[in-house]
Amino acid sequence: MNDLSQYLYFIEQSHLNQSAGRIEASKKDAIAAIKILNTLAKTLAKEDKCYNIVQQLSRYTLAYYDQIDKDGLSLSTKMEWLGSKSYMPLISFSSSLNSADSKFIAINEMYIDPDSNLEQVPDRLSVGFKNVTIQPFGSTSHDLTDLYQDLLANCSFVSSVLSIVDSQAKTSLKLQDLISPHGPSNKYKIVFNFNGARRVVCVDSRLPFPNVDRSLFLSSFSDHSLYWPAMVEKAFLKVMGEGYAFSGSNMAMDTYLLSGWIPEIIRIRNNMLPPQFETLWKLLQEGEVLLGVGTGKLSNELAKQLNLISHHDYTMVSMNSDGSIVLKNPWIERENINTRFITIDEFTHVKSLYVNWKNNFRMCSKVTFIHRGSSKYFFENPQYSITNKSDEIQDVWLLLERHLSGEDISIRLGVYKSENGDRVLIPNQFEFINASDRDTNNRLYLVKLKIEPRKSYTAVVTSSSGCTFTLSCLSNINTDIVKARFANPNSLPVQEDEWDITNSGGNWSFSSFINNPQYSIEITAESNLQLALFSNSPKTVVNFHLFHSEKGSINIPLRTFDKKKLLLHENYNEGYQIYHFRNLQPGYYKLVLSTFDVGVRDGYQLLANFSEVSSVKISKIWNHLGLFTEKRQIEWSNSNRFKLHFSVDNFKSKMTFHIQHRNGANEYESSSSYRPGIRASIFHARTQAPIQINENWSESLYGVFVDCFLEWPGEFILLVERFEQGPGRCTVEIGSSTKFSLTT
Amino acid sequence: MNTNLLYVPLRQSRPIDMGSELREVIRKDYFQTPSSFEPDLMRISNARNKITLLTNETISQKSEILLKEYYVYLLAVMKKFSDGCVEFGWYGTLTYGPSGPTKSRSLKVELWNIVFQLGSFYSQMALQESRFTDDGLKNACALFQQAAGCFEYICQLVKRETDQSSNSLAIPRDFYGDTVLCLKFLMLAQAQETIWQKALGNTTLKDTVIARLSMSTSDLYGQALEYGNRSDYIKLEWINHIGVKKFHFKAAAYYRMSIVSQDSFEYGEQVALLRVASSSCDSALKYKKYVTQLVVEDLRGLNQTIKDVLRGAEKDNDLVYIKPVPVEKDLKPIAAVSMVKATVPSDLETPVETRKSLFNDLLPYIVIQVAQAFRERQDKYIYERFVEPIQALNNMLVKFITERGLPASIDALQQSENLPDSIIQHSQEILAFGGTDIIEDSITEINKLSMECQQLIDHCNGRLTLDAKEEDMMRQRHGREHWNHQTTEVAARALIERIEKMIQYLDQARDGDSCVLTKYYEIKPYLEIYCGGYKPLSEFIPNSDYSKVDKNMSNIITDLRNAVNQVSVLEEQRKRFLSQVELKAREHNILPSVIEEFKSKQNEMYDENGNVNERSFEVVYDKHIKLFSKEMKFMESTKSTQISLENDIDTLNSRFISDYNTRSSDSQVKRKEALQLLEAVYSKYLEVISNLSEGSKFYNDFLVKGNGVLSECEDYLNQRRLESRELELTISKLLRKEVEEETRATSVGAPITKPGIWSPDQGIKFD
Repeated sequence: MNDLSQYLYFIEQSHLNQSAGRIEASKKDAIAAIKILNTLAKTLAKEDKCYNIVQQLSRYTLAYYDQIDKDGLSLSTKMEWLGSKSYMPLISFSSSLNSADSKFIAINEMYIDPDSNLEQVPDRLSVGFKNVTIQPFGSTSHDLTDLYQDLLANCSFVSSVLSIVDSQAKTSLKLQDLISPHGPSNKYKIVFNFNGARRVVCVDSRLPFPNVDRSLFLSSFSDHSLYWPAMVEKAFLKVMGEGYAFSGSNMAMDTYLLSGWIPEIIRIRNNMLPPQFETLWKLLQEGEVLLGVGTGKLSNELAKQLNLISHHDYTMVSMNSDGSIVLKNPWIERENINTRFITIDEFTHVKSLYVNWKNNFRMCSKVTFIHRGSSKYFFENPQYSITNKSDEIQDVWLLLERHLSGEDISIRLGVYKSENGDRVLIPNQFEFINASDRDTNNRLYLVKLKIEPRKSYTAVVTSSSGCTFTLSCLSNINTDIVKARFANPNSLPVQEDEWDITNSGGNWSFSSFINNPQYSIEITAESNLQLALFSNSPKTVVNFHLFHSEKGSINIPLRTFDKKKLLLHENYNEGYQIYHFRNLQPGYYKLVLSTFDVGVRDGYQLLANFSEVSSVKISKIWNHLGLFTEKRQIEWSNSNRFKLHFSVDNFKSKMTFHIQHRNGANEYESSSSYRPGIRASIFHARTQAPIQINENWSESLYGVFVDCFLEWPGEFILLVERFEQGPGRCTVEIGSSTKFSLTT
Repeated sequence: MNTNLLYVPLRQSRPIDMGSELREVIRKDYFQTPSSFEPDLMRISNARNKITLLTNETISQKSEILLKEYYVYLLAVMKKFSDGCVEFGWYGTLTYGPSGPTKSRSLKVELWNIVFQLGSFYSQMALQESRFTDDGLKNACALFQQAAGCFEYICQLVKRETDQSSNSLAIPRDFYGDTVLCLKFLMLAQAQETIWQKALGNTTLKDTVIARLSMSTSDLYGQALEYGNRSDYIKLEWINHIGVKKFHFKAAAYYRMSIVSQDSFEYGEQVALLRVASSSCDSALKYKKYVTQLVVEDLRGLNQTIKDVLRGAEKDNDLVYIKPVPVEKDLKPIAAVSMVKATVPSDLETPVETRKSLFNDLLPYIVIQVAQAFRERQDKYIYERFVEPIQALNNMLVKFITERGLPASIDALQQSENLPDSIIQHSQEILAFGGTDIIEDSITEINKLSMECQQLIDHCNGRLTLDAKEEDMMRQRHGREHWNHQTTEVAARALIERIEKMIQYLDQARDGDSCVLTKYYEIKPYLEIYCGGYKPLSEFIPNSDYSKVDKNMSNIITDLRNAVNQVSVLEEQRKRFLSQVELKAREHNILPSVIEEFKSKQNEMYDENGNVNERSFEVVYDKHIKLFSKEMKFMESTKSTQISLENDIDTLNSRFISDYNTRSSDSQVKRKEALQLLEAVYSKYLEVISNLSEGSKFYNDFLVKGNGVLSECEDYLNQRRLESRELELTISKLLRKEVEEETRATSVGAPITKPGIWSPDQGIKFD
């Protein structure tokens, strides 16, 4: 290890430690790096060309050291360092010096890549790894355009390499700039764009040589000693994690990795090139895009007839006047260059058009985050908002990159035209800008937007498994990516509970509606309040109802469904209900959460956020009539009255009776069921003095409630009457603040 | 207090906790809860209590503040509550004892009572003024005029009420014109009398002027007397007092004029004037019974003076001047000069609200109901104007394409293997919608709804059956001769007919359901292929031989495919359009607009009974629904796009059919048939989905309307039961009477049960 490579080791470790919050360790590493530089500065003469490098590194290191304990690192930057420890982000020490520079490589030092993944090779192939010497380096454009794949199934990568080298004159992209050193070495460093940053990948100088007369790495049929592209390929295979047993990627992804040009995959539908193809072709000539195509599945017979390969990527070389297109095949079997170019005039079997756009945007902001995987509720997915702060429509591209994990993961980036960049609670809450896009197992996902002046948008990332992502926002104005928040700044704790056999009362057309879970809400200052209810099962049909309530009845469960006191009357939905109450007045409210059907068993989450600080309190209402409860069922048996004797042993008993008619065996009635008029009164059993007389008949679906306060202990009678004699039964639920007993 | 004049006594009110009454009204009929308005409720309770405690002759300036404060509160209450929301009771105090109480469920009548109290207040304040100072007299005069103004205002308010053709308000009888007008003129007369009195103190004033002031006072008392005589509420003391005053001031006027005649040496006229004055005194004296001593003494003094002067004047004329004495009718009438008018206190007509108006934010439930109704109307509008037509247009388009065998015919030709994009799209769409599961769930749901509809009909029939059973039982119990209640068949004819109609509709719907079911089972195996994904689809669609089509045909196919591709572009556009419409509808909640309209124009929104007129909100809906005019334009354009697209496809397809002469290979035919079958299945699938959605809508509508019928059946049953009980009671009274008559004839007496006490051991009484 030379001194500078040792310096780099310490400075990278320092960055890692700083990102992990180990400030002291970070400082210690930085000091170790500074010591190396000090030693070098002492030993080098000022005229030495390395002296200038030491100076640049010293400037960088001192500035870096000063900010170590300043906590200025964003979470995203920390994630960049911590997310991929094997592939360090590229450090720019100055405009002309970065951490991939050959000066940091100890060229003569023995180096064997410890990553055993690279030793994976295709089945039934015997392969030996041998050191190669890259001497001379060789990078004539002719040799590079003659690069081809042979045994290795990496058509997408080779097509990407070819598309870059073929357009080199127009794009100024230079493949050789990715690798250092440009000469013989035991170790090579290659810079790729992946996992949210430009990262440095190290490989040793060994390449695989199969025991057959074929090549397992990228070769040029015009210069058989052109090995460095194979080193770039090797770095790519290392990053992909499958070594030489590579199973494939796609050209747009690989081109992004190599060049950082923004990838777009256009599905070719209905056998026709997309309408924007002519424009793209023009841009290709101008060096603004790189283009390629991918075929779909083809039978061997059809593939032969069409001279195409099934599931294969090609670069686009030229267009003929008749509209036919010449494709360049990255694969050549046994150096038979006759199959290199193919002309096609129908696009039935072409499935994808790969476009990589040169990044002409002036601004880029990005955020790196972890997705915990398939979320139970949509709103739990990571969400970020962007706002067009200008007065003009702006082109903004959002690029989502899934960090490499080796898993097959399905992802999607949904963009919603939200209000103030709010968190999206349900998929149809706001206008879904890219609704026609689908989930993809590609690592990169591009959404091109035209964002309206002064409008905000929320991007929602969904993923089938847990993974790290980087979301980049490219634009011409300052457009920060901000974590999307709920509509209001203050949130109440999430209420998590369930509908079970006792409280799943169904919708308000059932007598059991009042058994549903209920909450009291107290508003102390005018406030906006957003409520969101989610059932665990997306199929459960749910709703909530908010009623005006009184201070005196705040902890008493609902006794009827009074439409007049109802603040909203929305339809039941599958899986959710949300509503944003604006300017809710101070007062007391009662919230009922219900499923459409009776007896549903499912869990729920209730979210509440509000605008005014400390203005909203929520508490659960316990659905019991009293501390002590009893229940009786009495058959009407064609009578119109019955008496229930009960005795109370204590003074000052608060009692509540809930009387309901039942026609059949069901524990609930529907609004259309027959209900006789019922009334109930209370008498002292011995004196028969009335304690509470109710003269009015009630036909309420939810039954009759009688509250009474018994000053003295004693035996009492509850007299229940119905308007006319008839069948059915009557349930009487009794709740009391003190112990009581039913004597009949 | 000066007893020479009268004050109008305060009316008495039954105490009432107005806040608590209104609290109950808010609880029952308003959107918010009463606790949100507790301060307002307390304020109005206090104000009402304070005005109830006012008593005659103890009033002060503060009483006016209290009355006016309550008056302003009442106006605020009238803006927000219906006129009949609270019952008030007031006693009249003009008669010997308190009359009434007159119970009235009207805020208006309450307001009139407060105006009356203010009139009474001013009359009492006038009497508190000094009769010996100019200022006292001036103030008293102004106060009497304000009192008169209050009674005048009551007359105006009552007239406004009676002029309304739809008026159903019971106006308390003591607020009818005669009584209140009597009070008004009494107050005006007393104001005029005060001016007259002030004039007396002015020694420079001529007798003519005083005579004319006096005559006017007499006239005003005269009018008061006339109305007083017509009223049942003005007591005799007052009638007599007014009568005495009327003739007293007439006599005084003529007496003053006699002095003028004497001064101008017209002795005959002097005698004639004095004779009129004397006879007026005689007339006044006829009213002296029950009149206060002070008034009678004044009269006697005047009478004595007039009589003495008359005696001397007659003697002088008979002996000395011998002038002819004209009869009364030949005398020049005394032109009365009225210096007074009824002054309605300005703050009654345009009250000044000093504090925050009461119940400012209180929203009558009707406002919320209107918003809810508008929301439902908007939902219907969106469904009928956008969702339904787009579905229909899409279905027509798919049918159009499928009938022409597209895109299967060109797919089979161009794409010899793999799945064509249209098939993939259909498969994705069917899967995204829930595949066959969702259809089967919908069918189950529709069956459930159909059963619920049947149950609803059964419930309706059940209510009528119950009535029929109860009728039969009563008829049996009381005999046909006594039980003359209509049979259920007759009484419930209209309901029976409606239920039969419901049964017919339900039968038709079930027929429709079974057609949809058949259609579904026909396509189900193919839908399962669609839902199976790539593998079953590619197994179902055989590969064909690849044959390259010639350039010309390739161009035709490209054009045709371009046109067919436009179909999916159009469908995608429509899908996005519908989701935007849905969001727009959700974002533009009509409730705030309705509330805003109510708050800004609430004065215009109440009808004469203080109820909110729901029709006055129509303008809000009208304005709101114009939000969708851009969308309406889209509907027109998408329709015309479809027409022109269909024409293009038709033309291109004809060219394709006529130019494509090459005989297809067997494998190509098979592939084409499979593709066309799947396209046809997709078209039918859309029909099934649309049919199921219509079915669900039908049953849901049926349930809403059916519940209305059920509620009518329930009302009918309740009404019939009440009638039965009434009839049963009549029959039992009749029988009891017969028995009593029989018993009276045979025995001395029978024990009588005391009614009205209800004990748990007795049966329920419904009398």
